[in-house]
Amino acid sequence: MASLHLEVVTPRGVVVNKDIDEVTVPGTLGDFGILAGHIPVLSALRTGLMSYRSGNAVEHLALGGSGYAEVGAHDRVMVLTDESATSDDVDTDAVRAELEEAESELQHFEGDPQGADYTLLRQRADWARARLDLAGK
Amino acid sequence: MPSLKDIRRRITSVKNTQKITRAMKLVAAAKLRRAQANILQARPYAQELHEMIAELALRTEADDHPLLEVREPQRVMIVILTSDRGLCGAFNTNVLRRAQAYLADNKDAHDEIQLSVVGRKGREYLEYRDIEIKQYFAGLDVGNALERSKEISAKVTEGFLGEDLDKVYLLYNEFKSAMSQKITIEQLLPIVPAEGSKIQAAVDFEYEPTKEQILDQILPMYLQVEIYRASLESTASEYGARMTAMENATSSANDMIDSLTLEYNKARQTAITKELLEIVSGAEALKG
Repeated sequence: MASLHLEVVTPRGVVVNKDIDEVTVPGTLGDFGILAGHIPVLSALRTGLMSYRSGNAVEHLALGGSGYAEVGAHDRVMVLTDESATSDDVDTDAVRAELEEAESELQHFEGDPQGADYTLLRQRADWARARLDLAGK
Repeated sequence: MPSLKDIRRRITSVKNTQKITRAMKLVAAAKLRRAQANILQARPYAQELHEMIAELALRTEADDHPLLEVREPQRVMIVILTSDRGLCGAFNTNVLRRAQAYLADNKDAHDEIQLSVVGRKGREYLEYRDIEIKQYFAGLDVGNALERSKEISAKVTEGFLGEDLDKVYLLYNEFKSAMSQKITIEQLLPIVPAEGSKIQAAVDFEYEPTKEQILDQILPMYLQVEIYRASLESTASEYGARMTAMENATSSANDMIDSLTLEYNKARQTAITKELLEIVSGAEALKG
């Protein structure tokens, strides 16, 4: 019985818009699952994997950058995120190369580790890692 | 009087130019459609963020957040969106002139006005006029607008939070139609939360981890999507302007081909008439 309505929205468009049974999202304090009848929650998200289940079919999605999940009234779950990818989107070799590049740049980083450049690099590395995790699912 | 051969060569050259302008027009039209499609796709995201921020602003003393803090605007930055390539009419000139006008009008109001330029054309224009550029980003295109806006927003946020900047504006061409763009100047930082009209749920949320940390996450997203939207508007305007410019160039080339063909025919006729005259007068002379 489908009982939650899930929407995943990124600047590139609406990625998921369907009724599901259960969803797990990567909150900043740890992954958490949402079932129908959940209390209203607004949670910040970290780069990582989310999954949602309808019936026995489970689907995974990588989320990247900043984002939040809103569990609102009427069992509506709204996930807003900078980036998203399905396993079909991931070209493992390209992402692995991206990760290596970002990691080596991080290692040789000279400058302010509090600064914007460092944050952007770290985000790139995290995002690549999340997509590799997804490809491994 | 140019020879027949010269005119023929010019006609060929204009025809070749016309082929190029026509192709550029088609390419610009295709890219314009893509930029417009991207604007539409970004809309639900921006809409949701708007509502969420309006709601949070009602529920928190949101003024506390550093990105919302209004300070005396002593150091101001203007981010100018231009293109990497030319041949797009007055697209770049208009926005850069506006920037110069802003500098001239406001130089007494602020201690310092810094310029951040996106796009090679903007950099060339300002460097030529010896205007200092604080930050430079390579140009925008449909494909890289999202990455670029991420960089820009990270940079200006850094400056604003470090109190190197008190106010940040964004100056760009807003897309009206393929024929017309509107120069728009918008305040990026401090973020002005949209007017909240409605609170959706009567019950407040459970916040994970805290309201403040969620604002930390959401406000940069908002800034980024604002820049993204403007970038797409600017890209759409660029292609619209280029399309119009190339359309005009193609029809000018047509006019030129017509007038050159006329000239060519006249020259040909003159040559024939002259030859006939020579033959006739030669024959007359022989009759004696």
